[in-house]
Amino acid sequence: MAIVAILFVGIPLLSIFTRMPWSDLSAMIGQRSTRQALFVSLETSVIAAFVATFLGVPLAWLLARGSFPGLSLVRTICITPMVLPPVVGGIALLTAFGRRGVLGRFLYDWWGISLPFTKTAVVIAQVFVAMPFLVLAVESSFRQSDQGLEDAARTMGASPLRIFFTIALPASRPAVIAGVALAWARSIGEFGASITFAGSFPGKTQTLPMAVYELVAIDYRQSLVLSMVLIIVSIAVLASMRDRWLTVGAR
Amino acid sequence: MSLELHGVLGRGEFRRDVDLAINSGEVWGITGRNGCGKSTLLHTIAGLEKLQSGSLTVNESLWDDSHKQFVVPEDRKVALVFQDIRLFPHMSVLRNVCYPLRAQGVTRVLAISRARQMLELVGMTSAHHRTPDSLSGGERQRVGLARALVAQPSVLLLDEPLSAVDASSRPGLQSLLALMLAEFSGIAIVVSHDESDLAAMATHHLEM
Repeated sequence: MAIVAILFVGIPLLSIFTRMPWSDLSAMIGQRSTRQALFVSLETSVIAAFVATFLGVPLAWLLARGSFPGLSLVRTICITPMVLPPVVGGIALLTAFGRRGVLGRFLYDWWGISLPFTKTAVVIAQVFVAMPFLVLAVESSFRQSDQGLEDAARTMGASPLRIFFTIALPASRPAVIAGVALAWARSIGEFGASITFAGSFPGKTQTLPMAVYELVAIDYRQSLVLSMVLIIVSIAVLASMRDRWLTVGAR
Repeated sequence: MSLELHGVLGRGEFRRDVDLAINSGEVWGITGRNGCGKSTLLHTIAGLEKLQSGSLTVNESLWDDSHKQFVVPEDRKVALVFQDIRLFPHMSVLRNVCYPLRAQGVTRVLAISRARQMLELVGMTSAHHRTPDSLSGGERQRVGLARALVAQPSVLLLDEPLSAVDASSRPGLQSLLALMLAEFSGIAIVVSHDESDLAAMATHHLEM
């Protein structure tokens, strides 16, 4: 059964490489639409990974060390996007930040800001979907880190903020790196929430996965090339963090 | 300066009555079998555990009345060398000793120079850039002692300072501890399961 499972996952991935139009590869990657989608994907996913880190690491700290009523409810809400169908996430973002949305209405009326169908919307959708992965990885590391060291630092007069930056964060650095890599990989693969909330405008909001999806019907070979790019990126992320990711729990 | 603790210590299910009155300049050696609450006593004075009942007063200021009043550990200026010392593993020896000074707002340059002096005093001059992992039990205790004393605490608490030290470095560490404690002007409490360890350092003795 294990062999069946390996084949089940492996064959589709390898099939893409066997059908790859290797001879036209450079020409296809050089195509304007491809380059645009690749660039939008890289730009938005890197920004999204940054934002997810700056927001997600403090959130993970709160979830690991906080003690107030409703904490587990907060955790559940913050992690929901992980199991939510991404399209539903996109609808939720539209409902919140759309021009007539719960928050978006004020953004538009007061400052004339309209978020949907912009590059910012792509980033927001990616953060929404990817941040829980980072939060879970970092939270579990904070939980396992030695609280005795934090106690020791407290007796020396260190403030909670200093303890966070000098003791807790360095101890969880491998988990933070793994979390950033996971969040970035998830961002670059994001499709459902982004296309719902940001649309698929070439050169503006169209990311690699969207380009793949639209090209399947028009230019199958071109979509194969883009798929391969995404597979290589994914495998590279997994390979680069394999050691760290697996040792996070064992430390 | 004085420390008065009258009340009940507790941690989980554990409860223990304690009555202590200590003046500065005194070194109290506290002995007792494992599990009698020696460490809990030190943690309570440092503010890492709360009193179940009674009160803890240091220098006329109420630190813990087991009810409303509770001074957090970071505001107590108590130095505690834990039984497992708890050097920060990702920092060099020098940065470990700088840590309390930096936490209390001393500038980097001044902190480094005071930490160097302190490390010299405990005989660890050549270890500035080593990591805690690379130190022996005795060396760790010396660095822990330097880190505890560097910010000139009013209360010094040592939890089993000789327990993780091999026989060969024991006499040296013992005389260093006796010397540092004799010069210490604040309130000192040393906890040990072995009474003979304390004979050379303590001015007062309590069996828990």
